[in-house]
Amino acid sequence: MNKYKKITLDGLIYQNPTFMLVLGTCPTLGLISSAFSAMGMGLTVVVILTLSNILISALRKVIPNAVRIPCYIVIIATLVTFARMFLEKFVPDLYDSLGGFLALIVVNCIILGRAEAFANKHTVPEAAVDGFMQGLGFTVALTLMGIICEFIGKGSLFGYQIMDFKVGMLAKPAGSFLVYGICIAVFTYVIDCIERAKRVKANKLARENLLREVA
Amino acid sequence: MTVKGFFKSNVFKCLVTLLCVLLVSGVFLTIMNGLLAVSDQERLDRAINKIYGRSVAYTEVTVENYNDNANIEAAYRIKDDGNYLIKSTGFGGFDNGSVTCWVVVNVSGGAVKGIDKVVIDSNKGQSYIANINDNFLSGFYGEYKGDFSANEGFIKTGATRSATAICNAVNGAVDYVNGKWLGNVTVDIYADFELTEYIETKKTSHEIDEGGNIVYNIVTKGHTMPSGFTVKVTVSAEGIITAYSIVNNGSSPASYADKMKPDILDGTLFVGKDFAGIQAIINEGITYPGDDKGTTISTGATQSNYLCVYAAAFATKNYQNCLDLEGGDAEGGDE
Repeated sequence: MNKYKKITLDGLIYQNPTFMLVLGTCPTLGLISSAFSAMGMGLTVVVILTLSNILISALRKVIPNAVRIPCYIVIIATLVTFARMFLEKFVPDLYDSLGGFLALIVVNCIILGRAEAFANKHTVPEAAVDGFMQGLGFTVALTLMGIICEFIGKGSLFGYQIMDFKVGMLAKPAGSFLVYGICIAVFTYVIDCIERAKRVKANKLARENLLREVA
Repeated sequence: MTVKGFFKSNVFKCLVTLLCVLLVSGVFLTIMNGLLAVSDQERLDRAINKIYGRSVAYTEVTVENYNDNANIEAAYRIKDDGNYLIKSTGFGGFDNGSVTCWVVVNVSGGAVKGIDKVVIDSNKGQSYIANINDNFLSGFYGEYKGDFSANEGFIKTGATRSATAICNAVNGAVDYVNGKWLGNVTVDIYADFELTEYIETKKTSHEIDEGGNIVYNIVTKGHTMPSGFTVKVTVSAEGIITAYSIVNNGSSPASYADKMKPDILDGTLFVGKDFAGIQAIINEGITYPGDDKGTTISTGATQSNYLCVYAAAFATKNYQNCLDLEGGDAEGGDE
């Protein structure tokens, strides 16, 4: 399999940071009560994760092993501070809706995790694709759960009121927990079914090949 | 290790790398801060745009506070419609936090006509502020009929303490417009009285009857959990409480009101007691006992009980001060 295709599929599906690795749960649970906030947080993470992966990959041969984590943290914190400045200047509504969670991206496990697990072992283009796809996987997961929570919890989508019926609990952190748990279960079940179907197909092919060889 | 050895060591390389990363980051952020910093003027324009949906001309005026429960941060007069735009921070929120609001005060004929708009600007420590919705804020709009009381039913929002802070912010804005521009200054006649820490002195009043009895209508401040109480207390010429009744219970009916001492709720604990008797109830003097157990008012609604005891202490302690006011305006209110 093409390595970029593998990185893409890992980021979006097989190592999806939200549903498969269960990383970055703090902003996930805090922000999925609003689809707008969830998507905004996701897109911010896409930018920061891609840039941090590129920088860390580019500097991987320069940064000594002993101080790699402090260096990564400084780089990530710099990018997060820049993102905060940018959002406050140009997208103040999103800046307000993300609140304290924006600053907390510095300690988001996904970003430090990808820096440590991927970016410092791969080339810049690979690290860039990994950062973008992991971020995209995070964004899609958050937006999906944001849509579910906002639609059922508030009867609206991206702030536009659609129906009067609402289950208020789903717009609160307790509801976010429930939706997050159900989404993880459904996502894992679907991936499991696909993997099982692949294995059955591979076994069938192997059996047919064996029978052909015996014959 | 020699000096030469140090400069060739991994330690030195680590230090230099870390310092270089820090230096580059610092320079980058300094440049970006210069390019992207949001000025106070820009913040104000954004707030006005959010409130009015367009840019408007305004004049800024110096600010001065007229209310203990709110702090006026900034004030503007909008040239288009003559309204007043006040940035007011209301205190008494959840966990002693505050909520800062933009309040558009509509003035007509020398009096506050109503509140046109309330927009939440920021808050400190208000975890449930998301429960404050437009429906709640619209409760302020329309004709102004007096202070928005923190005890009214409409603050029961799921973020009652935050709603209390918003009420205080709006009341503060109205007080400011009244005092600063309309000249309706509320005089605090109890400013020099004793034991006023938990008393809303500008909302409290008293009357002296022919027999020398003083009938107080005391409004207390809120505490960490309960909102303010309104208590009617009669003190005889001997400085003894002869009647005590709670007019407005600031304790939350759903949680703590039922844990208050019954003899405080019906006032019988205070009747027949002078200041020394009131002081003895708390054992340790008229200072808030905190979470200390063992005093007779620690019942699970200690703060509510304390506010009621404090009101009784205020009434008995200041009997002579009220008599000294005789001849002046004995009513707290507009002058």
